[in-house]
Amino acid sequence: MKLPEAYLAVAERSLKAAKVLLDESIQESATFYSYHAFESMGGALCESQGVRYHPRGHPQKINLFTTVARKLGIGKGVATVAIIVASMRNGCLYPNLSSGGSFETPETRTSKSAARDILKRVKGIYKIVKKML
Amino acid sequence: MKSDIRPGQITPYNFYRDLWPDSINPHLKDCFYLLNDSLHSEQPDFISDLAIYSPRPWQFRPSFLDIYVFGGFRSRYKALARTAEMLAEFYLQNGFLPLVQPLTKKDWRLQIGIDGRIYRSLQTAGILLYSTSEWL
Repeated sequence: MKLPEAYLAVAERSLKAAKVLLDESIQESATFYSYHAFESMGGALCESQGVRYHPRGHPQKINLFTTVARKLGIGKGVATVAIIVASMRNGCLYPNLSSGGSFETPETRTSKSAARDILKRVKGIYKIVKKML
Repeated sequence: MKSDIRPGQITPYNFYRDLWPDSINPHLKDCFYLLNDSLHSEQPDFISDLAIYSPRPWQFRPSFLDIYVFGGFRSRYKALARTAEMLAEFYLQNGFLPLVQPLTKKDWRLQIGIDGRIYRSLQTAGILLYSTSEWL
């Protein structure tokens, strides 16, 4: 398997994981897997264009994905989803400050409807990226 | 009252007062002018204030920017999705990833009450970039 296909396979499994997690009402982890699927699609697209994707930090990978997507004419959609998933990423993983000095866990901060919408958007990008490979 | 503090009252830098970090990268400043213009053209009804912060000193070009959105919205996600749609072109043009955090009134009161991380970041090096109350 070539590297772009391997990245795409990771993306596909991450999307499946996100769906399973969403069905089990583990919406914060579903959102994280949507993020991971998105980042992996970036790997598939960038590597298919001869652009080295790894090793880099998370924002740098997303920036690279957006830059390559722009050159290929799919920049706007990728940029919008990139902002959403990257903005949500850490909130899906770590506790957040709540009232009275206590902390809330990620599932209380990520709604199921938000997780569903994110998964739908990321799947949309997946379909486009897959066609371009 | 402390709970009524608006972001522009604590950020050391302010677009409307032409207060900028001394060493700000000129390209970044140009980007922020364009972003302010674009926000004023769109006049998003869910945003009352928008402030930005970069963990890197302002003279450097960041790979991402923290963007704090304040408003009367109830759903943080809807505010995020709408802001992402507005900022997509800005992101494509400039190449640094906007990490958007919508803050409800309750979130902001909490930040102020305990001098939270966001409050401290904005107080240290935040720039107020858009506000519906700062037509000075």
